Amino acid sequence: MNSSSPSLLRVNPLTCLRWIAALVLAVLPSLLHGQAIDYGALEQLFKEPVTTSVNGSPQRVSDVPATMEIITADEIRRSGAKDIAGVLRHVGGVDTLEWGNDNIDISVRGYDQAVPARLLVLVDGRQVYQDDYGYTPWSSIPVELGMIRQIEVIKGPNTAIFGFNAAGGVINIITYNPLYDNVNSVSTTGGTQGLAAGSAVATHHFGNRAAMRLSAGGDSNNDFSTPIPASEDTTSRLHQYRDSADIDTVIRLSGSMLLNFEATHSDAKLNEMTPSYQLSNSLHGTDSVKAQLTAESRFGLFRATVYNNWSRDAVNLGSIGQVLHLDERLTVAEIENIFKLGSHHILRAAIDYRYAVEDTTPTTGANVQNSVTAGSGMWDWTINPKVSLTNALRFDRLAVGRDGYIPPGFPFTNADWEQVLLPISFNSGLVWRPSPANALRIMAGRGNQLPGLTDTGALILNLQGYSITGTPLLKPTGVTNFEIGWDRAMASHGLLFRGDAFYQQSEDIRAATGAFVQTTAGLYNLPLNIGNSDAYGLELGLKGGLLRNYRWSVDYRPELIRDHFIPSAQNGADFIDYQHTTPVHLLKANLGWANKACEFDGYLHYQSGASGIQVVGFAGGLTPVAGFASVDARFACSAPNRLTWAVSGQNLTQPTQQQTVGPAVERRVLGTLSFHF
Amino acid sequence: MVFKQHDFSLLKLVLTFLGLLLGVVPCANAADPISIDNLQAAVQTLNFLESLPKERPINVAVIYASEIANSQQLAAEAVKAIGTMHGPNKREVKAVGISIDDLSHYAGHPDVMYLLIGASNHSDAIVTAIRRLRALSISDDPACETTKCCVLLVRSAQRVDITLNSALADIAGARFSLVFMMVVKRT
Repeated sequence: MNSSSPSLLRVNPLTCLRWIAALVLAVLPSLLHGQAIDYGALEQLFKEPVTTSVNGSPQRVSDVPATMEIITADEIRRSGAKDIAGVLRHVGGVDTLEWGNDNIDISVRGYDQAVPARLLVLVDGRQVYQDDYGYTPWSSIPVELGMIRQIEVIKGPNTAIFGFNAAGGVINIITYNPLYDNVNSVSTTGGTQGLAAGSAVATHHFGNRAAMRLSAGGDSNNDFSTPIPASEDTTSRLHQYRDSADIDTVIRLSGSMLLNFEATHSDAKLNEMTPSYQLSNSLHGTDSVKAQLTAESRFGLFRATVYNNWSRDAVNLGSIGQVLHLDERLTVAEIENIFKLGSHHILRAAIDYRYAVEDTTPTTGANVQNSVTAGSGMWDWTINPKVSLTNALRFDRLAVGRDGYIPPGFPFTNADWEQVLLPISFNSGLVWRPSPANALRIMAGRGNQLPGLTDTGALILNLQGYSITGTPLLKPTGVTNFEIGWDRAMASHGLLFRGDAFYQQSEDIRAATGAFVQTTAGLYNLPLNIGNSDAYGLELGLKGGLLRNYRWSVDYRPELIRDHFIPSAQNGADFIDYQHTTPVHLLKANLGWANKACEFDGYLHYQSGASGIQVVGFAGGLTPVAGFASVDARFACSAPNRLTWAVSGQNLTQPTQQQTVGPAVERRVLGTLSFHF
Repeated sequence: MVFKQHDFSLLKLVLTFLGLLLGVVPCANAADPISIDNLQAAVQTLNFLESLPKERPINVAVIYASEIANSQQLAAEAVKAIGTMHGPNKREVKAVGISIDDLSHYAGHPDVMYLLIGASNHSDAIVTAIRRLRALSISDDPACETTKCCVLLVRSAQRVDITLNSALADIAGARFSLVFMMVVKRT
């Protein structure tokens, strides 16, 4: 890596740590007794999950000024899924494109595509979204299902709290806190497609002052064997695997102060759909270290976090004959304080800094970076016992840069990257609760999505006749969202209705290809902003219980998207199309039954016909995909000795089913044996 | 004659209805049965009470108003139910029933006073006891919010609603975690 980075981009992580330490020392003398957020105790008290993912402060899910789904540990277990992406398939309003046995692309409220960028994914607030292509490789998330307390899905932009890339939504995976939750389990799974998997989670307490959670897992499987469409058939499928490990330690420094250290590692090999809709063989490796200090003082709930992510990806483009080595480093330092002002105001102030850098590939010798310095604030005002108003605002200073080798005839110089952008994002929400059973939510928000580092220059790929690289001229995509929602609980019938109507406008949508520049070295194909898109939709959900042992839910989302792209990018020509590829009708339903020993759940997924994008010549084009309905199910029984056996399956109604323009998905059947101790 | 027969039938129906009503509806001076859900939620709030003494059983005084016909019986039921519950870190919870008439000279050291319906009619006596005993008062009787004698109003109906009286919490010396105070309503 070249060391001649501009000084504004080279904020040393050690300097950040010194800032945090200085602030902590300033706060320490005023500490009172306190605790960090004990999600379990709050959920037990309020009989509903509690989250901090909407405005930073703890809130009951029924009070949040956002459209949000929380998938509890119970629902994760009963999903019968083998991984996180499989759990999310059952969630209302969540779109999935299942390209292979380990390869699912996920988005919320439509806008799904191969390698989707609009959804920010976090684990306990740590970004696992990768800045290279700007997406989340789900297989490489270093989390075992058994260590997850809840998965929080926020629909719509939430950039004002989480920063860039929470433009379409946020998924925050909350794991058990080893200090409060004593989770110990081992499980083993076998199934079709040669699946063999194992997972273990263990928690150990060191008196009352410290606790540690260790988790590890891995799986090995074959991809589907269904035919690969000719336009995507660039490489043969390889055997897939995944392994991961996580160590999470919490030390109670005093009654009021907790120090948390976490280190993670993961490796995954899978067959993966690329942004240009061709199958590749990918290796994803991640490592991370994180330290977090949480303290409660008379000044509020203070939290300082610093973490570093390393990702090592190798993407074999098959018949193109190139391997991309995407090595990225992300450093993040955040400080936030949440405090109450009087009885009716909660405020949050935060500053954060993030720095991402990636070496160029496959042409080496340079790197591209972006650094963000941001200040944000939130004000939650309880106007009266029935009405509350939340406003959050964030100012970012985004600096992009490039250092190192410039190939002959390259269309840019390093100086072209020396740019600073100052985007603003906000979230506002009014919640009116006219009675305990009813809640009306009116919300508006604007988020920003950064171009991935490959789009801003980390990719320099020389092909026969032309080259592909990034550009510093791409604008972030801005997503503005307006929505109104109504919740109604009918306790006498055990029913809960949720309805939302939303309008979402996306500006400066980015395509990874489409701008052509002729230089002395030949033709360069660059990413470009291709236009805007509008989405109109409803989200209707009803859930309840029946006869004590049964539970059921139905979620239906009709959505219309209208793209307004430049002519050369229409109908998927630049591998982006949302109008035709997002199904208008998406329905998910669940029926579950349980007694003391056994439980059964069935899941229905229906989506109307849409189109998919496939390569046509050197560009993209649309191919129809028929609507489909798929059924998943799980049956499990527990013995008194804490041993549980479960049989689950996905796509059960047919041996193979065409769900995307990629290979058809296969029926999958799994058997799992788990022991909780 | 037919009219008279009909009139008689109607009268009989009305009388039957009134009889049923009188038989079913309890005496106006009697309290509703205790809610185990409300009691459970009340005990669970203690997880967030940082001023609660550590390392010993938690003492709860169930306060009842003796002028309410069945209050002593309800207090006994509440004492029994609370005794089966666990406090923070699975600590034992010991409960005892106390009449509001005996509260002023009660010599025990309760951590919590649980106010049954009707007790809030004696708000002066309760606030005096809160000050003297430095004990937290919890109730599911909405009247206690009006008479300002419960630190926590905890009700678990359509949803769990908790209202914290900050001024009374100060009098009781009750200190809750900041997270808890951010999630509950405050007056």
